[in-house]
Amino acid sequence: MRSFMSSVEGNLSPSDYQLKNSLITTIKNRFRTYGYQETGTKTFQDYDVYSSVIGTVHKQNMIKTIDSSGEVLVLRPDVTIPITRRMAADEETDDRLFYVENIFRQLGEDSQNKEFTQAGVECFGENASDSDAEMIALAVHVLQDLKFEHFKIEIGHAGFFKDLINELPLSDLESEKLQELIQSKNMAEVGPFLEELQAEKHVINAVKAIPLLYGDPKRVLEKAESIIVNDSMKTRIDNLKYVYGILKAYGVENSVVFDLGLINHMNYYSGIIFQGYITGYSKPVLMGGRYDHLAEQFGRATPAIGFGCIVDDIFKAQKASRQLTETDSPSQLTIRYDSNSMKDALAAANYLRDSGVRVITENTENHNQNVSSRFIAQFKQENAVLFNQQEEWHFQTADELLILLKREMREG
Amino acid sequence: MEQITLALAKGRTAEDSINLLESAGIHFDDFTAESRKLVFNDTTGSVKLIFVKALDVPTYVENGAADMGIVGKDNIMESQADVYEILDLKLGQCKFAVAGFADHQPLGNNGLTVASKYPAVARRHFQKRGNSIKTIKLNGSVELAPIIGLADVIVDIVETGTTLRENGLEVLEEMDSISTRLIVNKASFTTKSESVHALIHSLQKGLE
Repeated sequence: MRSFMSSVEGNLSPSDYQLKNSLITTIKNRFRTYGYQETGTKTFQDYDVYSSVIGTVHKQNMIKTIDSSGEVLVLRPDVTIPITRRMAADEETDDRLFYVENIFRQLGEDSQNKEFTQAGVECFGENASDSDAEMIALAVHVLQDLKFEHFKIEIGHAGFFKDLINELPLSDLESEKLQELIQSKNMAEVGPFLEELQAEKHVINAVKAIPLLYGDPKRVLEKAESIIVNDSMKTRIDNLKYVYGILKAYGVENSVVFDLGLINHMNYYSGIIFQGYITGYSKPVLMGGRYDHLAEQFGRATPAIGFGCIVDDIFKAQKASRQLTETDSPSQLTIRYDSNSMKDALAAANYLRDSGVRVITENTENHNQNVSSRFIAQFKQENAVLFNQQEEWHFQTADELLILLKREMREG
Repeated sequence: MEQITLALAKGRTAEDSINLLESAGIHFDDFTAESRKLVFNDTTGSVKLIFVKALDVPTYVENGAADMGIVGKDNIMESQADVYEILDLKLGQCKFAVAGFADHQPLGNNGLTVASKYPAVARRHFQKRGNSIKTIKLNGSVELAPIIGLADVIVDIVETGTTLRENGLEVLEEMDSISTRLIVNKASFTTKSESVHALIHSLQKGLE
């Protein structure tokens, strides 16, 4: 056999795949209990849509392909944009949607993994602090369902920061540089950078304070109020305050911290933004926020908020904290038969499968007998017997076998 | 409080960094400059120190193998790691610069060959100037490259400029200032906030 050495991350083993799937099921079930309905998008998307929408995935991170007519397509680099686009195009549509899909991105020069599973929700049409808070509460709920004990949702506000730096005379390049400095909390360089700008002292001081606005929500809100330089910043703070109040009503205030220096690289966010961290895992496992102006770019103004869980990272975080338990073996019963008992045995297998039992069959005449199921039913012409490692039981009909099996599985 | 893993760059700034930690009240009994141990625990058990190659410090911190790191800005810029860069520890202050022969063709020419230990930094600098260049990655004795004709110019760290002068080169353009920084993993900053902030605070005190 040829051995392939490749830089592409290997495929999951079947047991890992089961584990990943079961955590997806947990997430899906939680999304449904908040009234969300599952949806999907096409893997191949229009490149022009992604390249023309403001503040989306960087062009160099998208994986492009060309179809036979010369049209440039991209492998779905994000799900929010196609969902929003369809939402804007359809007059009547459901406004609470969730998805579990793979997204494709090429990050960095030598990134090995280009495919990520994302499970996310999008809520259209509501622009109130209540829906902001519900979204964050849902994120907390999901992480609780996944049995993480120590995690934090970090909450920031894209609008608060944008309103502030609009007061500064910045070129695009300078604005990018400033965001980079704030994002890395680079206090040592933010100061000198700002001193060179022609701006009012109190605005400069406010920008300098931004990287320090993190931690306990109450303290952050107090400090943030003291640096407000215009009315819209005040509105943003009121929004955050109100959201924090509602989060307390949900009983999740201990799972959140504020960080007003939080900046998401997806520039389409307009309001509250947040991301979730699990203790002991180095990357955020979920991120999202409010994007009220994205739908406008597709011709229909609709407020919206959503978040996505990065399933692969959640899976790794769960594995790292050894929270995953082994799943059941794939089969519960092995039915063995020979050419004489074949008809009865296969009829019994069908009957049991219809009743939901996981069955594999083996012809003893041309099959090595290996025990992979907990129970084995041996069909011979003269008798039929069910056994496991300790005991054995005789039975006549498939119905009797099912009753026996159910009883023993319950007791085992 | 949870234990913090702190990654330190091996080499010239290591001892200065240890001294700074000492003045911040974090002591390592078994540390000596000659020691070849790579892991040290402080006397209270709240900080675990690991020694790694300078350019690897940002990688360790970005991936959470270390919660915090002490490393030069040059290595942070080269690795482009996504980390918080909280404090300027003011150690090892110097500058990036483009250097070469004074009578060489102007830097604005496209297609220059630039040799450097920091190819990513060099590429980004010339990109900002609007020039396309070719980079050659070297691991040492970078000054040799223009002399031998391997490259037109070099991008390197300049402290006093003595090495450059002795080899007949000079600074053609100054770039970013560099010094040692305290970097923090973004997840640790949020999930181990108590221990992380305590350490930042004592280092801040130690700097004063």
